[in-house]
Amino acid sequence: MARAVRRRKTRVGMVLAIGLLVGACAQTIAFNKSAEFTPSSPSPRILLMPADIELSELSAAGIAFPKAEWTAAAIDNVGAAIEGFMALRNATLIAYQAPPAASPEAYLQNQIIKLHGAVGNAVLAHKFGPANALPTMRDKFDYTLGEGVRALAGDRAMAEYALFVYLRDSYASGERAAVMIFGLLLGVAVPGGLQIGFASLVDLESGDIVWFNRLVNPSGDLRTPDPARQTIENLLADFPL
Amino acid sequence: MTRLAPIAALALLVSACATAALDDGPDVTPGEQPRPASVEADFWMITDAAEARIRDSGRRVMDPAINAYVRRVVCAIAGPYCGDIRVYIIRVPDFNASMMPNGAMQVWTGLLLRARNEAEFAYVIGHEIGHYLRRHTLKRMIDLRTKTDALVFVQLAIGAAGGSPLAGNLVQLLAMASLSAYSRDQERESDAVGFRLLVDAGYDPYQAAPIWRRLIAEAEAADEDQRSIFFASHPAPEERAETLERLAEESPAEGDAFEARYLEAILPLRAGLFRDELRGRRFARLQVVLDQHFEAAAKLGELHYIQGELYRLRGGDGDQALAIAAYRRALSADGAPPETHRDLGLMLMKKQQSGEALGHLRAYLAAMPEAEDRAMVRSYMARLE
Amino acid sequence: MIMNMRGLAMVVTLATLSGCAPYNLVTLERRDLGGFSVEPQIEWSSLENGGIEIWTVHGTGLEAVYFADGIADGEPLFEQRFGESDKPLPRFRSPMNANEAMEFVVDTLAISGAGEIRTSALRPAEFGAHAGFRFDLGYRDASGLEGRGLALGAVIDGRLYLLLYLAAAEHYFAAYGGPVERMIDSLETP
Repeated sequence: MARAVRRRKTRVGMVLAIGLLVGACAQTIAFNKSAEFTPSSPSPRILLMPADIELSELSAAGIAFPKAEWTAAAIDNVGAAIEGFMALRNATLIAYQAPPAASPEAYLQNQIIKLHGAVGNAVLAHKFGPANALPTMRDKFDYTLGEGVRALAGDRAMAEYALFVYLRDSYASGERAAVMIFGLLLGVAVPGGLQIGFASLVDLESGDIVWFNRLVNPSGDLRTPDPARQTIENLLADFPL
Repeated sequence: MTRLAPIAALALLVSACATAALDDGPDVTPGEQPRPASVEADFWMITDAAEARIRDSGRRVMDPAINAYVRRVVCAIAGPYCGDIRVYIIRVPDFNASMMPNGAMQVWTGLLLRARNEAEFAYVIGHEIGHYLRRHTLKRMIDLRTKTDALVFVQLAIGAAGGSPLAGNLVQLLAMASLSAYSRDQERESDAVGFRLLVDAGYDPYQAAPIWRRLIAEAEAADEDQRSIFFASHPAPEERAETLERLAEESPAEGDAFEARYLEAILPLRAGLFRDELRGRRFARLQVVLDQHFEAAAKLGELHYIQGELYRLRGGDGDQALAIAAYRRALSADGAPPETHRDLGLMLMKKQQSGEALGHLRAYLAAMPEAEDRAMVRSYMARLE
Repeated sequence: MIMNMRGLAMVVTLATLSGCAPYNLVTLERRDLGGFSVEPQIEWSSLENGGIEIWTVHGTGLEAVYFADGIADGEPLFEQRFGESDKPLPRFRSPMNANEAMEFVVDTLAISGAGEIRTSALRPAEFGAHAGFRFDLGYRDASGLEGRGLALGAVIDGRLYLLLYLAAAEHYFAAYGGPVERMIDSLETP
């Protein structure tokens, strides 16, 4: 457990650095696989993967302490916001059901989900900003999970796309707010909480990521329904369906 | 410096509000679930996510026999808490065991290799259960928050007053040093709990102290001043070994160490665990562990082979000759793996002893006709003929 | 569940920092890697890191070819970058036979965080004009994602030369296996 403390500090250092760099507006950058992307049907069926969300409270010292109650609320609010968003677009959401733990299906599907994590990492590393751009991906967005992705839909094959959502958000505690105020008085910049996340839409036939969006936002609140809806509007901006 | 005083006063006020009123509350009870919206609930959420990652990590030992054995020992020691604990054996060649507040327990294979008998292993598990029962991790995390909260005001004040940033860092360093480890008090508590659990489960009370002494010896044998990761979070092993020895003397209890059945459980994995250790190339430490297994003298052929591998990988002056001698000892003892012939053959090839080398490579292929490196070994043999 | 926060935060930070891009384009012409040369077969993005040249198309977490050019006695396969492991990296010992060279590569990968490494089919192979070796491997990365790999190497004049292809087992290994095999066929030594 000694390691956990050190890791969290690194994480916060990074998050604070982003907060300082990014400024006051929500930033999203979306990638579409191709400009000519057309949905497979007028009412597409989307497999909604369990959203990976964690909300934390920033202590006075700026360390993020995850909060179970806020996270549970955010999961509910984000779920409702996505449902509302998709209803307006005539898309049907199907909740992903994980197969029984330790079954061969579970192993296979977990590998696909992990592959999505690795692909997501690659997109975030190389497609946002010039620092780490790959010449081979310069003018195209060509990321896929391969045809093995069909395992996610299972035997039913009831969905044409899968939607992955990842969000991390932190909120200044009262003590942190006090530090920020003291800081203002003393002329020292002290960052507050930050919301970061991404969403990706995967074609369940080819495995291609047909749409990908990253969100960085110094404000926003997932703990209550209306601001959560706003975050989802931001996150799913330019959603292709 | 005059600006520090009012800021410090404010800091004290805010810190007082920030500190959760954390008394030395009751121990965890069997089957306990955290209250919603509590700090415990937060930690269960974090550790549930950590546990899911461990479950899928690919680092787990899945062998049913060793899992069943470890589970049995954990349940014997844990008593009524057995149902709350999920054990994961993780393939890491370091001594470590730990428990998360949600009941997920990790046992690293380096611990399995270093315990000499079931009682020693059970004691280490009991020690970790002690941390779990007394909620030490939770308390450490809250302590971390309180201390760093206080620090930030000091840093702000120093920064604003134009003071030297070094002073702030020194304070921070001191705080960090005490934050990453269990406190000595927490260690004493867990030792006491672990000892009580050991005795209550019918194990020999004298089996609590020796493993710490051997770990100290292993750390001292290392040329670098590297303590096991376990010691980074569990301070003062010497003091604790002395305390446990005294507790054993004072205890009227008698019990068993169950060395034979522990060895029986570990033996099928042992070669693989030593292979993991060899990868780390920490030869002085590994020799201490290997010597411990030589004392138990089970399947000596396998141990002599590992000794040969240690010499081969160390590759210092004279190590080649030592390796050859060790491989030969392995072959004349019981249980040497067929790779012994291959590695002896390859070593003899280096010394231009072609005839003998060829014989051993042939013996290797005869024993392992489906060996993954058979094409390469045949090409070595072709060169020798 | 999907990916760890540290990874995300780190890559988002990297992305927002502006500066020189470390990746260069590898075109189709024969490419000199020092002690040997290959025809790339397709375009790659290349990066030099810790003395090793690395080629990728989508990012090294998905597929990558690593080239080691003349590892000398006492040197590790690459300079330790992250310094998280307290275990020393294995060092090349000249001369090494193919079994030892394979062990050197595998142990380096293990110390760098790969788990459950399984090697198979260690066999003689041509490395340009020299006698070399090949082997296959499977492993799991730090997140538990399965990977596959293949290695082609040789010890020439006491130094190790290596081409190592590692990729996610699902889709990526097969997707780039063809170009890598043709690249291996095209390998020449001076």
